[in-house]
This record gives sequence, structure tokens and C-alpha cells, in this order.
Amino acid sequence: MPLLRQVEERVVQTWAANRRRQFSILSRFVVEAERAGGVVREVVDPQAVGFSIAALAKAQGITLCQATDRDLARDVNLEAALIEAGISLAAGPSPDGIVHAGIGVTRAAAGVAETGSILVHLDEVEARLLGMLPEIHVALLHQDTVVDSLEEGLLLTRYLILRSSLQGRPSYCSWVTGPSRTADIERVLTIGVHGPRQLHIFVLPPTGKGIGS
Amino acid sequence: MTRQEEFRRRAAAALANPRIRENLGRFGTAYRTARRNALAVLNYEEERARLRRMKEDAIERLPELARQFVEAARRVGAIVYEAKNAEEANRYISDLARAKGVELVVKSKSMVSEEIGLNHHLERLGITPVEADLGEWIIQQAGAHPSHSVMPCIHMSKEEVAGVFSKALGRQIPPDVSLMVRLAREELRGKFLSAGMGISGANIAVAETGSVIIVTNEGNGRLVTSLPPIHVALLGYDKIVPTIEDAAAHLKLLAKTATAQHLTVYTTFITGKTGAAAVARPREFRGPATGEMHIVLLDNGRWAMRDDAEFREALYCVRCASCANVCPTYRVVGGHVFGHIYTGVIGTVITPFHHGWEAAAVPQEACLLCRACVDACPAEIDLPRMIVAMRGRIVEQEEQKKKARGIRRLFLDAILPSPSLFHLTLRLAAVMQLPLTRGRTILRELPGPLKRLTRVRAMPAVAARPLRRRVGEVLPARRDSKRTVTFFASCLIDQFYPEIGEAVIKVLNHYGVTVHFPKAQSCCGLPAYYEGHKETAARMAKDLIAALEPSPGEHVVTATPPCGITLKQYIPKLVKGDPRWEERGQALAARTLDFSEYLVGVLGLGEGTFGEPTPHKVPLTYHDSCSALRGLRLEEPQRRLLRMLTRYELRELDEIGECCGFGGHFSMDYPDVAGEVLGRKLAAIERTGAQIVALDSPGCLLQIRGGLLKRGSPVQVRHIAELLADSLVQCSIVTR
Repeated sequence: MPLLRQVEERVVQTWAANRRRQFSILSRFVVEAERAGGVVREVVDPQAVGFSIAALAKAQGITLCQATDRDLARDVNLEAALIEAGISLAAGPSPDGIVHAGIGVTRAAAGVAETGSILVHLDEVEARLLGMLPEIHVALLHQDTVVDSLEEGLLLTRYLILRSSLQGRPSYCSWVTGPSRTADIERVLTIGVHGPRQLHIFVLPPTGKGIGS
Repeated sequence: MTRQEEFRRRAAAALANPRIRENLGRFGTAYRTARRNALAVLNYEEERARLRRMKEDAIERLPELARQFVEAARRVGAIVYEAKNAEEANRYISDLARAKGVELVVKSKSMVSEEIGLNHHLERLGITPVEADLGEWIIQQAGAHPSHSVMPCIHMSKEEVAGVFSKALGRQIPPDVSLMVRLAREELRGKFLSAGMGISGANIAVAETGSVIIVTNEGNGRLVTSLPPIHVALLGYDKIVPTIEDAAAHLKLLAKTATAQHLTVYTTFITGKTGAAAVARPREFRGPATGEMHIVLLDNGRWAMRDDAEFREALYCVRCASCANVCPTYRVVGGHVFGHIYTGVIGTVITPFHHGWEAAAVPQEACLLCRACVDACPAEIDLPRMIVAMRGRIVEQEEQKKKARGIRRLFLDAILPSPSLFHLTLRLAAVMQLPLTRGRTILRELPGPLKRLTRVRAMPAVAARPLRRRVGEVLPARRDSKRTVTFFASCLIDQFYPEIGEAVIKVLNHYGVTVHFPKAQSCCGLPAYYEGHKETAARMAKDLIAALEPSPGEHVVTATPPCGITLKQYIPKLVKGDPRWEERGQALAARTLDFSEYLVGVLGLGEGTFGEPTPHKVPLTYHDSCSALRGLRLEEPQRRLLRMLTRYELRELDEIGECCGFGGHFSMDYPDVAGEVLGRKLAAIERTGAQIVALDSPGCLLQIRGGLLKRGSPVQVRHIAELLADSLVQCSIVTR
């Protein structure tokens, strides 16, 4: 069997095995992600997420919000919610917007319960920057894409990267574990340095499509 | 200036700045607990064995993996340059910057760029490098060098940092940490958006996919590798592993041991260049709109390290800085003294390969050989072994250049190995000290050139009658028994603390053991070995084998753990490959046991109680010698023996396993540094409220008792053998 198929096979097996204990994996993820300083919300209706983001923006006095693409904005009803709140939305990155947006909304390809990390796998640089430059990063994660261990997370990462790499396509993938931080001055922990000061993870209902699809 | 004098000079400068040891001391204490909590979620020994195996395999297969990495990186469009040395790497990067019209470079943390002096090189050519990691930026603005590989400015106070900010931003900035972080974000944001090139290091490189993995907390690593149109990843060959999955143990252990996090905030897998941000493309940039990734793979001594059997394992390092964090002398002098460009213990060990032996000769003096770093290392690297190997090579080079210091060399290579000369010297000292001691056994102040020895602790007088003159060759058991041991006394017990030797004999005799004390024994050679005089140490090893071999004891027992290590571990190594001695060395090692180990393991002591039950118990604490705890892996037998004694209540120290700062020659050569280490130990002892410190090594006894006496403390310091002997109801010591 070719290498990529072998790795893919293992990813599929992992996903199948994990589905049976989805809820224990999810609760481990929530505990760890919050321990790392993230804020996790489980959502039944994705359409409600838009209103949560609008409320967050309002509370923080943010006037511009950006999502990586139109589909994403539509999936969580972002446009309507923001209009209602009087906040501008740029769906699909605009170079100017990235620098000025207070909230960046991106998808997360997967989650890792052991470490409370999300995998942000965005090859388009402008999209990726939405998780890096704004003060607040909102990530949308599907419940059934959360794997249990760091090893499983690396297996999935290997698969995602190998898939592109074998075809000669570059890729960029980050595990994000909480908001940006430093303790460089007198060991005083300070949240929010070059990256986001807040990380909000909305856990959406399962896709049923498997991870890495 | 000898390397010892130069080290003293540098250490004195560091000691003059109390901020260094306050910050590092406080951090070291917090680090211990935080690290222990972070590691509690996994099986540390299993995980580090896994990391070790992975690194061993990767370095073994490095030629093949390096080829694979280069191919895979090129497949995704990265441009790979293999640089033999610093000069080639620097030139490649500056040529690239000039060809593309780059004037401003942003950098995320890269120790390799420090190694090759990249910033300096770029500045000379009119290209401006800006460090984006907060700590590195502060260090850069201050015009200094990092003193710690994970926390570059740990030696600075927030007031000093505020001074750096004020100067850099041209206005007065108050020492408010969150404000300074905020200002750094604003200041550096502009740099990210206008730089033509981003330079990063790499924590791991993946052969299968050509990816580089970067771990950061601040988020600068992702900006440096995403915003500018050119990304240069600068890394050593040693970072290459087979697949992404092989990074598991590495990632698990790195954050936990480095900063006590489960995982760093950002673990980024970069595989080629996925475009350049239109927002950030500077006007001066001449290159493709999609951007470029360049990988500079650096040798600069790494392949030589791989080919050097004694130093290969240094390549397994994951740069967590645990070895610095737990190092008792690093905590006193910091990384500007203990280190060259790479800091701490591992930094000093790799320095000869990157920056030459001259650069490493002085910093390596900082090592006490306490072995705290061995247990702390997630890759199980035996750093003290490499420090000793370094000393061997440094001594060889000094011999060649005739730089070796006269008296030191005379002592280690001529007096110490000759039992008659050595004992004559000590007898002379015993006589010459008389005007000072006037019969006392303690010297609080020594005069003239010896003053240094009593700066932070009192010294014991040389015993008027050494143990070898006090007792005979055969010391029979009190009752009939077939058990016999051969006692290896050690110089400290024989010449300075004969009463400990008598206590050992008394206890053994009491339990029915006949003690043989062959008088042909002399020094085991440890001082020569630790100072890198390998040939002398090998010669002394053979002399000791010959002296102890004919003695009929079933076991060789010693009450001096460092010498126990010599007999059990170093002597077999020193005679290895010599057909006449190899087996005999192994036989001696197999026969040797520490005193406590013999009592508990062979005689079965340590159960029940010893003495009458008493209503009032004397509080006692136990100090583990580094040699017993980490060298011989003994911590339980001593405690079992102490718990038997009904008179005492054992109270543990809160920093168990911390060195007392004795370190043999170390505390003689560098009393001020050793004194700071000792001060931490004495403070821990005082915190227990104990009236007695029990210990199992005469070296620690010299240091701790001397320190307490110097402070005028009433706390008593006793060897375990003495406490046991005191508790024996009857005694009979055979004296001549």
C-alpha cells in the first residue's frame, strides 16, 4: 500500500474508534483548552454563533470583524447578526481589513483533547492571518474532529501535510493552544503579545464526514 | 591568566550583581514545583526513554534523513542551502537579502542565528535585523546577549527592562509589565508589516515532508513566517527527525520541561512557502508575489560532534534549558558566566564544536558535577560525563601549550598518586597547622593564600592521627560470624574525619562483621579524574585495585559515596580495554557497596526500631549527597536507618537533592560561588527547624558543618555512621 494510503487508513481507524467515546474526548478537550486560557462554547445551533460573536464584539467595542470566507460567515449567520449589532463584516479577507479587524473568524480543522489544542490548517496566507493579527481569534470546530491524544493529533497532522507535500504543494498548519502569551519580563505571565489576546472556540455539531476531509 | 583565575574573575562580576541570583534563585524554586506538576500527567521515565531512542535513531540515520529532508523541502518549492560554517550561512542570507532589495528583517527566536552572529553580520552590511521575541528584542535593544536559551533576559529586573524600553521608544516608560508587553506589540507590529524577510529557527525538521516545526508562545514565529514575502529557516542538521509522528515525545516533553506548559501556545508546521501577504509586501521587495522559502541547513561542527563518540549525545538536546534551570551554580552566576553563546551546561558542552575549545575552557569550570542535570534532561543526556571528557581534552591541550599550572599539576599528577608523598604531605600539614589549631579540630580562619578556603565555611584540621594509625588491619566482629568486609576509608575519613571511620567499624563489628582495613589503600583518584587528568586517574585506579584485591572482605564497603562512584563506575571505565586490568576492575566494582546499602541490603537492617522509645524526639533532617542520590541511586537505605533511631524525628528538606556546593576542588577554587550554593542549603536546613543534619558523605559534612560553624549555628552535622554508633549501647573499638 502506498505511504499516503497507509497513513489515511490509520486516520480513518482512529476516527472510527474515537466516535464511540466522542463525549469523553470532547469533555477532556474542553477542560484542557480552558486550562490553556481558551474559552470554549458548545453550540447546538450553528446559526446562534453569529449572535455570540456580535455580542463579543459589542462588549469589547470592536467595530470590524473578519471571517475567512463567505461560506463560513453564512454557516454561522454572522452577517445578519453583525448588521443587527451595527458592526462591519468583511467576509473573505481584505488586506486592509486584516490589519484593522478586532475579531478574526476561522475554521479549525481538528482539535486535540490531551493538549486542548486546535489545528488551524489554512494555506491561504490572508485567511491564516485572521487567527494571528486580530486581538480576538474565534475558531469554529466540529465536535467529531476532536482526537484524543497528542499522538493521534500528530498522525492527523502528518496526513494533512503529507497529502499536499507528496503533490509538491506547500502547506501551513498550526496547533493553537490558548491565547498568545509571554513571561519574558521577570517571569510575569502576560496574555496577548504578538498574537490574539483572546481565543474563543465554538464547538459545532458533528459533520459525520470524518476528520481531515 | 589560568582558566581558574579567569573563571574567578567572571564569577566575581556576576556575584556583584545580586539581581542575577535573586531572579534565578526564585525562578529555580518555582520551576521545580511547576515542572513536577506539568510532568505528573505522564510517565516521565518512559517518555524520555522514547525521546532518547528517537533522537539516537535520527542521529544515527542522519546522512539518509538529511538527504530525504532536502528532497522533500525542494519538492514543495523551498530553496535549500547547506552551509558548512557560520561564514557560509551568513553570506548566503545577506546575499539573498541584497539580491531581493531587503532592508528590514524580522526574526523569531533562533539560537543558531546567535551561534553564527547573524545580526552583527547583517548590520555591518546595512541590513536591519529586528528580534521579534519579546525577550530577544529586549536583549537586542540592550546590546547584550541572552543569558538563558528559553528566557533570554531572565537576569534583568523590570526596572532595567523599562530603561531599555524608554531608550528604544524615546520616552519614559514605567516598569509596568503588561504596559511594556502592549507597547512591544505595537512597536513590533509595524516591523512585521514592513519587513522584506522573516528569519526563523526550527525546533524540529521533518525528513518525510520537508517541514520545519517551530514552537513559540508569543505568536511572533507565525508572523515572521507568514507576513514577509521571504521566509528563511535557519537550522542545524541535528533537528531532523524521520516523520511528524516521531516528534511526539519531543513535543510532549519540551514544553513541560522548559516552561511547565503542557504544550506551547503555537506549534507550527511549515512546509514550503504558501504565498506572501499582499498587505505586508514592502515597496522595495523584488521577488515573486507568492513569496519564497529558503532553508539554511547548518553544519558548523555538528557532523564532527556526530562522529565523536564522546560527544555525539549532545546532539540529542531539545533546547529546553532544564539543565540550566536545575543547575546550582547556574542559579548563582547565570548564563553569561556559565556558557559562551550557548548557555548553561549543554551550551558549554557544545561550545567547543561551534566556537572552539578556547571558548569553552573557562565556562566549563562552573560545573560542580552534582548530576542534577542528568535527571532533569528529557533526552537523558549525561552532561557531567561530557564535562569530564571536556576537561580531559582541555588538560591535554594545556599540556601541549605548556599552559598547565605548576602547583595544581604537581599535586594531581605527582603527589596525589604517590601514597608515600601524599601521606607525607598531609603529615607535614598536620604539624604545620599546629600554631593555628592549638589543639582544636576546627579552623575558622586560615591565613595568607589559604584564606580563600575559609571564606564561607570553617575547615577541619588535618587529624593528628589518621585512621590508618588509629586502628589495625583486622578489626574482628563482636560476635562470631562469617561476615567480612574490606573498608575503603577514603582520604577525607582517613585524614580529616577518622572518627567517622571508627564509627563505621564500630557499627559493622557490632552487627557481627569483621572489618579488614588494608593500609596499602590510598586516594581512589577521583580528584584527578574529575579534573580531567585521565592518565593519572587510570594509574591510581590500578593501584587501588591492587591494594584492595588481596583483602579478604566479601564486600568492599565505603562511607564516602563519591569514592563509591569511583570504585563502582569510573574505575571499570578507566581500565577498560586493558587486558591485565579490565576484569579486575569489574570485580572490584561488583564487590563495592556503600555503607548504608550494605547495612540495609546485606545485613537486613532498617526494620524495627533502635533504642528506647522516647517521649521527646529531636528534630533531624537528612541531606542527600549528590553522589549517593544520583550517582549510586541510593536514597531509601539511609532513610530507613534514620527512621530506626527512636531519638529522632526525620524532617525532610524542601529542596531535596540540591547540592551543598562542596564539589571537591570546586569549593576550594571558587569558594564564593560555592558559598552561595551552600547558603541556599543552609537556609533550607534552617527552615526545617532541625537540630541535627544527618548525611552520608564526608565532603558534604565538611561543607555544611563548616558553613554552620561559620554562621555560629548550633545545628550539629553528623555522618549516619556516627549517629548509629552513638545509639549502640555497647562499644568496643580496636585501637592500636
